[in-house]
Amino acid sequence: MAESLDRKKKGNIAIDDDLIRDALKTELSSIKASEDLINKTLIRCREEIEKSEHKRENRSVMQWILKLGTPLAAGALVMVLLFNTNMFGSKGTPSAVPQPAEGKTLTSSMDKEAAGAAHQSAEQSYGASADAPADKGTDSVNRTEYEEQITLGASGPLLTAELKEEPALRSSVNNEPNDNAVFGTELQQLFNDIVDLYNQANETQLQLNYSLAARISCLVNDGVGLQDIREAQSFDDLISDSGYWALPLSNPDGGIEKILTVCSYDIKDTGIEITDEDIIYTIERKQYVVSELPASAENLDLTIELLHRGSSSEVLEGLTDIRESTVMIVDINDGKDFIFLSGSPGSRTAIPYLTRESIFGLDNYTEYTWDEFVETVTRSLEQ
Amino acid sequence: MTKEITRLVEEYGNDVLRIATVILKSKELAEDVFQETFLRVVRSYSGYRGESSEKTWIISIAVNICRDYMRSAWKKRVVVTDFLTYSSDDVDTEEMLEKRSERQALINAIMKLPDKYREIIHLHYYQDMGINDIAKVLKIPGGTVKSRLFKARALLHDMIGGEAHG
Repeated sequence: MAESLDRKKKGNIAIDDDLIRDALKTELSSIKASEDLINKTLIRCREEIEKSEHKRENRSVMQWILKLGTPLAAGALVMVLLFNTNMFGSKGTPSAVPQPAEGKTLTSSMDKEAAGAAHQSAEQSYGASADAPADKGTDSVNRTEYEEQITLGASGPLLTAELKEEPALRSSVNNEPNDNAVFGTELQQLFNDIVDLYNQANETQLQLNYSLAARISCLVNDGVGLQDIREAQSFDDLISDSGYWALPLSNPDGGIEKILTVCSYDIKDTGIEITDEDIIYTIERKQYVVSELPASAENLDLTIELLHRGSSSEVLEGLTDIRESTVMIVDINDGKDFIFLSGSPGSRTAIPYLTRESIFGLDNYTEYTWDEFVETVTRSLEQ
Repeated sequence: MTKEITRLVEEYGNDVLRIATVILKSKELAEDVFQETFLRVVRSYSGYRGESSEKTWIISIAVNICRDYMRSAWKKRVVVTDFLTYSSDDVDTEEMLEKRSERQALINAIMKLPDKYREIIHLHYYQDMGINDIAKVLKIPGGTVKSRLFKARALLHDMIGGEAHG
């Protein structure tokens, strides 16, 4: 063997390629996927296949509609223009000005479909029409009506949004801090716009449950090991300034069906990893990475309970000084396990919300002081 | 496609589970990776062009998922080696016992290697992958694969023999 090691004796063991190979093959042979694991996996795969087939069918229907609909719409538009020009001598009469809401629905849904079909970026225009400045100079629309049109657009989601399918973001730990802090209605508006885009992309009609939206903090960048826990003085030493928003989405029956994660994204920052499942939305020239939290039923229920506990404006909007907040939610395992922290900095207590309780020896819904937490986790990790 | 996925799970499932176990040192997390890997295989199946072997492609997905998992690192330090249980109905001779003891010492040393060396040792010696395939899976140059392999073996020598090497 080309890469054979010398058979020099090391202690009592002569290490060579064959021994390494033999050790691995023999010792790892006891690890086999159980029937249960295989079945579970195949069930999930089948669901995934059905989901993608369903999407493909919808997409092809929409492509067909687009193919047929576009010439029809163009013809109709020509007819309308001709009719307006001939009958009234102007295309800029108030009755011809498109209402912003209509423009939003039609334009965005059509563009999104085209984007989805072509797997390319697409632009979606909302609210104020791009034609407006041209109309201003050439048409006889009176100034008051023109200003009204702009105002309507600006009060609604006056956005240019791009949808890009990028390689994806998995690790919430790597998320950048949301340094472009926005609050109150502005924040709610941003979330609503993201949910609109998400609905259009996925052909869903989910509603943002804003009262349960929360800001989730992440651990210090490289994660937290046993040594880090031993050396820390309090929970605060383990928490980074990075984080993301969790947006619960309800179906028409009111049940929370999905939780989206959103964080701001600097495209120049190569340190952020994007996964296939993430989408980058550009809203008012700022980028946001949108993903879904891991979607097992168990995990979803747990996270919903957590969001109910954390339901307060402080959890949501404590962006500029999150470390001073008296309530925090911390992601400790890639969106699967969390701890809820309460109390003042330096003297917080933690309540675990773990998908798999056994992993750190902690009991869900039980309040731990820092000392109790350290003792339990270190004991568990040392075992 | 369902049949094809079933075949892939049956053919490569154990390989995925084993590499995930070695990298993450946790049976439970490895099972999560197992499921996630084949879900991603389903999602990216249409994009697979056969540029690398099926095995390399699937192992590559599994390694990437393991790396994602390791970034949220409470689990990073969960060192579990009890999954490597040895069972045999045969009566062991002294020689067999000695051989087993050697293997276990070696496997324990492998499990204590830093992540980047552990995964490369597994890919090379367990999955029987060549330098080029490992380079594809880990997305690193072939030269780096070689130097890591060399370093990994040197570390194993040091750990087991207690003698400075490489």
